[in-house]
Amino acid sequence: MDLKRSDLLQGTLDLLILKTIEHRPLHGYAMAQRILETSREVLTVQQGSLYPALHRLERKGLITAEWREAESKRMAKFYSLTASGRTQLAEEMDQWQRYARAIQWVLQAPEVAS
Amino acid sequence: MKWPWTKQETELDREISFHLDRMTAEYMEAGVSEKEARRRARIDFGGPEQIKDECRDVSRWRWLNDLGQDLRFGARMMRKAPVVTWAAAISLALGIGANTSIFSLMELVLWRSLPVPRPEELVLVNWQARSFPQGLAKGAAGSMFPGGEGDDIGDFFSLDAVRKLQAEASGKALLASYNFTERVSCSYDGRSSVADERPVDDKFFQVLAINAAVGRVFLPGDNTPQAPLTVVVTHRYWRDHLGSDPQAVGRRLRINNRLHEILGVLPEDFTGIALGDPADLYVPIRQGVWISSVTGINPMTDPQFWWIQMIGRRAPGTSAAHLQTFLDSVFRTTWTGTPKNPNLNLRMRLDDGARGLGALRREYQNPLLVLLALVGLLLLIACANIANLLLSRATARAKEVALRMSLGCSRGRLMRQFLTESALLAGLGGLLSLAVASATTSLLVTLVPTNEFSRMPEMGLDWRLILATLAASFMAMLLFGLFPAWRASRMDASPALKEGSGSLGAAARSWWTAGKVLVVCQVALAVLLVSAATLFARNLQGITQQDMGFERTRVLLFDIAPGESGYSGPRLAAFYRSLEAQLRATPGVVSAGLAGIRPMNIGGEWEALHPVAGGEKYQTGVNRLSPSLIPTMGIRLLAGRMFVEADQQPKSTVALISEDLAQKFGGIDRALGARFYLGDEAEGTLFEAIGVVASAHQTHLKDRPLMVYLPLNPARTAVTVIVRTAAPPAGILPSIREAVRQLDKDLPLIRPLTMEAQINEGLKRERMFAYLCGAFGVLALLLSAVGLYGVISYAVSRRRTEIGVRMALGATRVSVVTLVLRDGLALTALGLVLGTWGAVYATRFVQKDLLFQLKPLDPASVAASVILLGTCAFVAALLPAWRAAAGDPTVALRQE
Repeated sequence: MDLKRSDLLQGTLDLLILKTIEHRPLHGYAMAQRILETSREVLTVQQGSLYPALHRLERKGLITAEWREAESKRMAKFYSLTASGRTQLAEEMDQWQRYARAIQWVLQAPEVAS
Repeated sequence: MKWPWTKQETELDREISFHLDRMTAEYMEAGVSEKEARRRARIDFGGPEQIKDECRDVSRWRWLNDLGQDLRFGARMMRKAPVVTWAAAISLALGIGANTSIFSLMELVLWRSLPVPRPEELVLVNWQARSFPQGLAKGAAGSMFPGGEGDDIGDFFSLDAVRKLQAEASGKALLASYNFTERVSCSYDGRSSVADERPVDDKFFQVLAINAAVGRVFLPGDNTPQAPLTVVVTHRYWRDHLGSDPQAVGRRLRINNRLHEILGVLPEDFTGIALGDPADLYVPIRQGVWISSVTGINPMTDPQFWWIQMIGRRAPGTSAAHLQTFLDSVFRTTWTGTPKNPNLNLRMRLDDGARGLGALRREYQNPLLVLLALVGLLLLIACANIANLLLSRATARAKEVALRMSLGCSRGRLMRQFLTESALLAGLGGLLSLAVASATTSLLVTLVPTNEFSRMPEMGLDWRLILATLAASFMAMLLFGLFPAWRASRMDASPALKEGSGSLGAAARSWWTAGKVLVVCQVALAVLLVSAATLFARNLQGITQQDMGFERTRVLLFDIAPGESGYSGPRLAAFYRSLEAQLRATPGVVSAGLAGIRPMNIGGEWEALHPVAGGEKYQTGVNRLSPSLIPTMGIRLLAGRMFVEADQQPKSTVALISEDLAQKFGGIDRALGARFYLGDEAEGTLFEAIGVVASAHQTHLKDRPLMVYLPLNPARTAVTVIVRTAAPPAGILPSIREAVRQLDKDLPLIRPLTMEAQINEGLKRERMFAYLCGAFGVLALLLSAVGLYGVISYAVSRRRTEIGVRMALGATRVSVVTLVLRDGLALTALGLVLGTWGAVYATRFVQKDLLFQLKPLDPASVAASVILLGTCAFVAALLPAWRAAAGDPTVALRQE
């Protein structure tokens, strides 16, 4: 099964970004790769759409960026979580899990004879 | 340097190209050609430009980005419609620039404080009474002017009163005395010059809280008749005549042939106690050599001679009202007689002294307010123009606006776009208006009449005015930009898109009404301004072209003061005789005469005249003349005889009277030989009228007083010499100078002027009015013509199809022109009617004292302005009408 970009639920991109850089700073390309990898190639984000989201999160103060040397010896912009980004991530993960569990319950509810 | 927004832009570039490069590299590793790899990377990534745009949208600098876009777009729109742009910007610049310069003039003349510490503590010490305090004052020198409640205000006190007031006020206020400035001749280091000297006492600079920049100011010991002669000079005089030499302090300056030790130099920013104060030198008042030439009273000793002015500084904690009550009680104890007028109601009066002496302020308060009102009207006309232009432009862009809105442009964004464009115009207009203001203010200062040697301070535009100007232009533009923007954004997009250029959309129709209203207002306001302009121009013309009773061309006059340079007694009388003879012998000179008082110089000498036969007494002007003066001035002798040499002696009792005065005696025949007293009835001198001369203006052109001419007393220390020349006087002045030099090489000619120039000195106010109102009138005319032209040509462009249809159906050119003209002229006529009504109403507020021999409601002025405006409007409407008729109807029809 292949999810198209438009199938990515509204608002989930922010969550994916925050989660991806939870433990170490990444640049945009690495983030896209990592989302692809960790979703077992199910979620393919249209790579360009990462950037408006990154800039918006940066503007909100949830992530912060710095220029650092990347693996390829070129300078790249690395994003990392700020303290408020971390809180936001925890909240959003919690919300998402409750939501996913609720969907799950609905989908797995036993047939009730009417 | 890198701005944060440019940095953001390059970082965005780098970030995205890094990403693209990595994706390309990945595809290449998989074995794809570089070109193909790059193509695939782009597809996966999405359009980089759109992505960047989305990033910019969330950026902190988005507004700046939008602003830049708006500005670029606005500038492009302005370039596309240069006529509208410049018309609006110039309207704004003229309207606001004119206001700024009138305001800076008002600030200078009416509101500016003296450049001294804590000016608000200063008070001018005056008195107020129903009339001249006869019985208390035998003689006086000073100024009296109308105050409130029908009273007169006087600024002169006897030396006795000054001393008592100063002593009693101690602790409550510090009072200082001073006197009028007087023209003196000076010489220093071998160079001679003319300067203005003000006698002051030792408290004067203490009251002003001014200390010397070099040396010192007066101490009590300096202000006694026995003290050595001393002088304190202004910084300006020190710079111009003493070479800015600190060593000059302690040296001697020769003033009127008496050596004065220079005590000190005043600070540079101290410019005196009035706007344009002419004083260069300050001398102790007790050392003055001034003695009344009329009555022979010694003002130093006589308590009934009032001649000293006072200025004071309130002690902290003493209110002005309290000080006034207190000084009033002291003032009453200084009277040494009984008032002859029981209703005199003489009392002390303190006026605010923060802005210095008020003569100029009194004269200019009302004129400046009238000017401010006129210039305000001008600004309104300019604003109407701008509103009209912006409205018409907004309507012309209706299609563009509709397109933007249907493509999803938000209303707010659209308003912002329009406002940015307005602000751009405002910026342009504001900058231009500063240029207009700085050019006109320097011109305005020259129109401010002070006496001709006064030094006006530089009237630079100060930053507050510049800020106010810019704020005003932005306010005006935003106000007038907002309405079209709001209207445009409110518009329904679909009809505007569907309609062709030829039909009238809903928005267009409502604009047409707004534009019409604006044009009618403009024309009405312009009638007001143009009638004011013609009124004041006719006023000036009336003053200058009246019969003055004497010949004004080819007359030269100058003052000379031999009595102040050591001449006295028979030597002085001999000097005057040989001066006249020497001048008469000079080639080019027709005749020459001497007068005690300079004619047409405002002020003068005034006496009460009582006929011996009884009856009314009259206030008359007095001048003293040598026998040849009446013929030199060209004043006709109507009856009796002129003066002869033998009349020229101190005890002479003969007099010439003017025709006006003779009529008061019951006609020329009865006046001849009539006897009268001049001065106080009991103590006045008896004179006999030996001749009657034609009435002539004496002090200024606006007033022709009853005149008594007396023989010149040859003991007079200074006189005015009047010379009639055969050719224009300027060419003969050098030989006249030479003639005087031959008599005495050290005697300077003081204020040599032609009679025309002397007359003009007294007409500066009228001239300023006529010039400024004329300029306002021309501007108003221009602005409203532009407004009308804009409205009519816009209307024509909207009706092009209709006109085309009419012409295709057989309408002639004349009928088309008439059709278009009718609209324009109807608007103009409505404006003219409203404006005339407004002018009739507004003239009630023009003070009578601004006008001479004209009523404020001058039918000729109003008629002239209506005709002028009507003609202008006709031309402004004819041009577009003609163009409409000249067009080819098929072209107009095809456009639909």
